[in-house]
Amino acid sequence: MKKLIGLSCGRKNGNSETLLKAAAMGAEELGAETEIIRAMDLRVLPCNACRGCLKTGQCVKKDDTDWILEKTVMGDTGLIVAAPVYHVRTNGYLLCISEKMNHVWRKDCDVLKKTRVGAVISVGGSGYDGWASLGLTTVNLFVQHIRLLVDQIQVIHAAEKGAVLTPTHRDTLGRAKELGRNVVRAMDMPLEKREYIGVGNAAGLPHISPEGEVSCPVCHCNVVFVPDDLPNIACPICRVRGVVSVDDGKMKVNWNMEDAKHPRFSYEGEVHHMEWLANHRKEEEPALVLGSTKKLMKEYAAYGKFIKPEET
Amino acid sequence: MKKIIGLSCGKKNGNCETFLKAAAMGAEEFGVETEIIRAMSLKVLPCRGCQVCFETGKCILKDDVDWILEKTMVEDAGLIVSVPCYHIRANAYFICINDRMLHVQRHNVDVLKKTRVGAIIGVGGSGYDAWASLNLTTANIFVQHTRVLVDQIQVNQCALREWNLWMQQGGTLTSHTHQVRVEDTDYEKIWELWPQKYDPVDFKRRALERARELGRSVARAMSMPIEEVKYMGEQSAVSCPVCHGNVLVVPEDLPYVGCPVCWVRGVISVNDGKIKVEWNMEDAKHPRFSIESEEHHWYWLGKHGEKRLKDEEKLNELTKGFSSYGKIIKP
Repeated sequence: MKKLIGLSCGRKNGNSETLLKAAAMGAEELGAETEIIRAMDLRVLPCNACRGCLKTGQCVKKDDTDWILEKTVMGDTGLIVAAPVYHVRTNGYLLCISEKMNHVWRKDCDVLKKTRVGAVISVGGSGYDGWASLGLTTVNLFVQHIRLLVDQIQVIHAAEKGAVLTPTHRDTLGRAKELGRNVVRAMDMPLEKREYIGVGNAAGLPHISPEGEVSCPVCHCNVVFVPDDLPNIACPICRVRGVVSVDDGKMKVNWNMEDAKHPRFSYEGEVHHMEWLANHRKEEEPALVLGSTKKLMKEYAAYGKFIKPEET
Repeated sequence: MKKIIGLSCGKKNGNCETFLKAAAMGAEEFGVETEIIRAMSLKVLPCRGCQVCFETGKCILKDDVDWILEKTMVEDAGLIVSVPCYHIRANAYFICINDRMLHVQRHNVDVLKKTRVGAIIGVGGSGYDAWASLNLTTANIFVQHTRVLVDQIQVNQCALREWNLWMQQGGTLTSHTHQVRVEDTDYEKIWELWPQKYDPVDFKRRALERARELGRSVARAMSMPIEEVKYMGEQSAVSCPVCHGNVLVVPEDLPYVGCPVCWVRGVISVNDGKIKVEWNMEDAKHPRFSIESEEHHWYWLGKHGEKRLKDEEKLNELTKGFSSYGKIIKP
């Protein structure tokens, strides 16, 4: 039996959860079972960077994030993540879970090899004027480590519970079911044939953002970063470089397809990053034990008027 | 504004906190005191979207976030936020605080009037190859509601000048970051390609001085009329006129871009062989987080909600079919 894990970071019976269930129904038609995690029912806390987990393999905080990460990061399953957009980007539940993932995949770096597939559903209460523009981008920061992305949708104008079940969103529901089917279809294909099945310009579906013409070849998001100057841009998620050019009056991005073979969250990219951090730490160590550094550290540790809520 | 509130979302005595203290020392030179909040020593939980706070003006979760928001959003003070970059963006301590701000601004609408100033310190563990590229972006999503941004720095611990905008005085190093990905290069070889290497002590010293200058900029801005306040930070060649960020969203197709934080629209154009963004300066007068646009957003959400209320019964019928579906698992 093919298995999917569905992670919902939205409210019980909210729009993220409902669309995840629709995707699960679509997957069920093709013989896959989905187990759903409702993060808001569980205890989820932010990361304190104490590094206890890197020593012990377990987060020191007493919450359910390790369990959620075991289910979503490890295990031979497809993954669908559904999350609401709060403040232009995905919400605190998703970001708490995402940032605590490192010690989990470090148990077995093979989970970074893109042998499993995933999809993302991001839901915005509004979404006009770019109000949801960093939704998919920020969920991809989690999913890109551990899955080959085969589909994603940014739903907009779905605020109150039940909104995606209204007639206005009839096509949204259908699209979410298709997303579920797309994940299972991809699971049934050999690795080398799997590819992004996300729909292109969704004209006639007014409440689903169309996939833009400018989209990163790896995460298919339409957010770019300009570190120095045009025409040179990059995808902030995947670190695939691009050059903006004009051909026959049409402006477009030429993406670096070599970069796309080894994006930031590829197995090789992550291994490199860990090696880089280890080298960097070795460089910093001698400077940290200098007398002058220690003196400054003491001075700074003692400085500052710290305030806390009054005990009442 | 007589004082600064400093919000650190990093570890005790970590880099975020240290740079925030350096900024506080800079402000102190101008007689401005900073009160520092160390978020990691307080209780911070994620938002559940229950919306009880909209009615009551208080969050029902038992933690310290309402207090943090009172200090950072409502008090008549300058604001410096210092955030570590986890996974390309600001960390979840910061995000959780940001998520829960709405009832504060709804019950104190005047906090959205841009009469106070603020600054952001972002710290990236590495920061090469855009590893920290969404840190200032996500930090601005909080700060832009209540402050005019005077300065911001993203200190990236790789110490590469190419990936530390604040080290590039007078113009960015055009295309250096585009020429090579550090990821594709041996650790030692990068110094051959980009020879201006700073040793860790020198880098830290420079960063502390720059943070101190950020504090001075905030203190100076606090003593001038708000309309005279100018942005003092470094800028890349493509920089939103409001948040000065260099991240763009392309909702449909080039040449049309927008700042995802501020929703100031831009058009990429080519003039004399030089390609650049023409920003819409009317949008820049009323960006997403201006008081006018925020009021519009509440109005829009209200109208949108009204439409749904008319079909409440039908909706509840539809939802029944879904609420009972699904194998939900727990530990």
